[in-house]
Amino acid sequence: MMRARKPRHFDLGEAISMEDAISMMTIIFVLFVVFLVPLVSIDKARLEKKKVDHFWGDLVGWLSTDSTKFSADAAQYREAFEIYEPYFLKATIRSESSHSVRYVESLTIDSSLIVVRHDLSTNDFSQMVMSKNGETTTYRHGKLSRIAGSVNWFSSQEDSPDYGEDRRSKVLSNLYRSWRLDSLKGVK
Amino acid sequence: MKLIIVLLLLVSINFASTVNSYAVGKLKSPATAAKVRDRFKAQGEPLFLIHDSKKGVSVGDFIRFTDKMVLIDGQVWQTLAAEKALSNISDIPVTSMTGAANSSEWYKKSAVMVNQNSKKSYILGAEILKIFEEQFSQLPNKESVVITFTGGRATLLVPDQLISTLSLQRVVKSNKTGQMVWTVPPVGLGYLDYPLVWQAWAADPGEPSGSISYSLSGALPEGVRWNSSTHSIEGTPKSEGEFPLTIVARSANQRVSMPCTLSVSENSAPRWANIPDTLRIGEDSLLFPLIMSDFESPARQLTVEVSHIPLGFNSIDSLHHLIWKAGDFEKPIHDSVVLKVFDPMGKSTNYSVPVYYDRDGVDRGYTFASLTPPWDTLVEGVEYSWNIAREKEHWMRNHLDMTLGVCSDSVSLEDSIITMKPGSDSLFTVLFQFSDRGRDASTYELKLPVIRNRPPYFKAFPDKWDVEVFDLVFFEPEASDPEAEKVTIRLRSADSGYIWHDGRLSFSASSPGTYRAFLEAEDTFGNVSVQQVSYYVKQIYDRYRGFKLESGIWPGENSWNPNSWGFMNPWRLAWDTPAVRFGIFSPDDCNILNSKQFRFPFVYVGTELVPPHKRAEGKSVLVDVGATYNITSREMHTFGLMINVEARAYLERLFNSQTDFRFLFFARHLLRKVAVDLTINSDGSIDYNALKNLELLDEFVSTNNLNLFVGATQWFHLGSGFFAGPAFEMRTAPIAMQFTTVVDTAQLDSTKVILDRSKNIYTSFAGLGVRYDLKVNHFQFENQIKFGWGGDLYGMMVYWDTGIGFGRFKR
Repeated sequence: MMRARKPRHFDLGEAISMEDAISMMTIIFVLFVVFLVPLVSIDKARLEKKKVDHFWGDLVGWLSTDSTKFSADAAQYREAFEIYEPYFLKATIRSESSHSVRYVESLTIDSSLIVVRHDLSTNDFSQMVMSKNGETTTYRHGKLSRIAGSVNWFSSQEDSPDYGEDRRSKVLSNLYRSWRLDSLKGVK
Repeated sequence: MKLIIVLLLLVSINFASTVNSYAVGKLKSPATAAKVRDRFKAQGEPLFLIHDSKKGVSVGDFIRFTDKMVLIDGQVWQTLAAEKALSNISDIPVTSMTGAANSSEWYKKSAVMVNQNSKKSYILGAEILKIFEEQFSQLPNKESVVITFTGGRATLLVPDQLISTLSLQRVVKSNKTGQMVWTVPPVGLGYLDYPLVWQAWAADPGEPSGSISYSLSGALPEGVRWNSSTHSIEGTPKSEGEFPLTIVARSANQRVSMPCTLSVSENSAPRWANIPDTLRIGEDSLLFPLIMSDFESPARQLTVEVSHIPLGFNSIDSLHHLIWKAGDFEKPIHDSVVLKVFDPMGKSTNYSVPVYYDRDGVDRGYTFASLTPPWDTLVEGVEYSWNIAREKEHWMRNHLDMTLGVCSDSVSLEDSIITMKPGSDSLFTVLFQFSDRGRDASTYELKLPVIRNRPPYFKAFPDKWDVEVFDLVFFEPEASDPEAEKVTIRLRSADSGYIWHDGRLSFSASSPGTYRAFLEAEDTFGNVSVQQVSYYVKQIYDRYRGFKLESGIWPGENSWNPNSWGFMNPWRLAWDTPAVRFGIFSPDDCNILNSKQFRFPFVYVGTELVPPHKRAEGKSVLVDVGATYNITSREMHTFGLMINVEARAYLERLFNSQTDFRFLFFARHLLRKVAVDLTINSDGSIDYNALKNLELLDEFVSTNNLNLFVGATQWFHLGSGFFAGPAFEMRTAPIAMQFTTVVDTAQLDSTKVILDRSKNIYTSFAGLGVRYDLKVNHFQFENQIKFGWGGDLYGMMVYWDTGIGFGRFKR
């Protein structure tokens, strides 16, 4: 005898509606905004503006167009100021008209300009290391000396760097700048 | 208390590849520190992490607060500058030194440093570099190594990558790790009254450089001395001339020599070669080349200092050009250029040249200023060709014809090519005569300095100095000429053993000694240089390796009675190799005349205590240790020890022969013993038959029944004696010497033991004789006979020692 199969009953339970779900998400989002955003510090540091002197940027640009990579006479300062590739791109020697002062001009791969002023009468030197456009400038001072029979200079530096407050740093910066301005006048 | 300002801080970005180090600085003033903290809205005291302590605080450094870290860029740097914080950063007590990764460069730098800290830092760095050079044959690249010392402990921080790439080549004292070489060029030129410093440096791959010693032979010029502590030639030469020198560097295993010549001459002053009588200028612009010359130095090493130039000359650049950019001068100008030219030694010459400027003047000297030859200095005997086609084209455009006037010898002009060949070291003159459309216009005299044609120099040195007999060595000399002329090398003279063929010197010698050859190099000009090549030939120090049977007969003062033969070995059978020696030799019986003796021979083993490379030099120390046990009677046994020490050397200056110094030490302990038989009975009593088994011992002695002897008998030491003595022997060909002495303290009174003396006996022998060694194929014969004085009764004696061996001579 065939028995009629009793149909099964499926219970879906107490489901939440779509409206309820959206309401809960909105509340969570609001709470997130209310409590989380204040955790982000809005107390920023008060920084100075960058002091950019375009003269130095222009000078670096002009120097980088010079075809001389490492002039032969710059080799004598190679050891003293560690002028080595690949960190250094260029190094050349310029002399003031009096020929009592030499400038070692060099550029590095990060566009830093490094200028050394060598006073031939006393063999004192001042070195200026200037990052892009003069954003940061540090100075070192010391003495240059030679081993007998060698043409290479060796440097003996003072203990601390200077950040532009030493008189010699100002002398280097101002004299080099004015000398460079003069020497570039005829350059187009 | 001074604040802790700086410590070496390691910031490891990636230990697998690199270790970065930063110097750390603090602000000296708390008020400034507070200001900086406020500006950056941060907590705690600011610390400055500075990657380049020489440069100071710069872009890319950090400020570290308790709660944040700030990367320094342009804005941050300006902020610090505005707060005057940069100059307030404490001195960084970190010395940073940089230089080529070469220890000798660092030593050189240390020598010129005025600052003591810098000087010491360079020496420390040089020593560390030497470790890499000498222990690992390579230097790290882009790696950091940090050593931290704390409370007596050291911590080394090395990236794994660096360690894994370094190949360890320990310095082992061995002469097989490579040839010793010179690392500096030979001393060459010195100048009169100028300081001269030349330091000898050689490298032995098997030795630290500090263990190399240097010596110099040859006369040095007055004022110059050899400083043995710094192995330098230093001083100020006071006399001119050529000084042949030989510098020898010695390590523990090797030696290398450098024959060279120190030439001392006067340093001449530099000159302005093309100095005009008057600098006549008729144009608005001019580039006048200053041709400076010096006999000792190339022109590029000369410097020019100008003390006066007329108005209008606005620059003299480093290329030594007078540049004239005149303005509009209405009137002619009469002025002068005053300058000074320096050579690299500092010697200078002053010049003053009148300048005449007249824009409307007809002097067209300016057109010749472009006549700049490709050379600033000529060398005598060298032919130069100068193509002036471009200049001629220029003159033609200006309607100028050029002909050569009265010039130095050997100047010719053909098809725009000027050929010059200066014959002597003076000023070479070329006179250009110009005519303007048929009318003489001007002349231009070009003067070029001519320097001496320098002789060629030898570039190669023999890579070894010590060779062994029958070694075949080759040396290919190389020579260059300063003027790049063709150089011909030939053999001038040589001792026997050298063969010169096809540009190569070969050498081999069959007997020891020093052998010299002189090579000469000649350039096309005719200058000749001489190089001395010398080899020191050493004897081969082979060792006998094989069996050897030796016998010594000492008839002694007691005629030929064998029992009175000397205490030295009646015979010895040995197997000798450099590493292992063992053998047996007959025991001595202290002149005991008992016929019932069971005597084991001495058994000994030995080795050489000297490393193989010393053995190769013919030096060694051998030690043999042996023992014997003898039953010389039923009551007396002897236990003997022997120590044999032999020092061997090759005394070539004395005998040119292998010499053995033997020190043989015997110590023999005489044991008087009594055989005791202990028997434990069933009632617990013990039978003690002390003398019963003496018969058994007699039986043992006669039958050699060792098992019975050991199993049945206990031995007690009841008495003892002592027999000892050193023997010194020197054996070489053709002289043999011997000195021995023995003291015998055996005092036994047993009736079974018959001694021919009962008190201390001193025996000695001192003798001198001849020795003859013969080596035939695998056989070695040794014979020596010594005549001397000594023995038990002290009289004239003869001692004959002979031996035969079969083996091979090997190192």
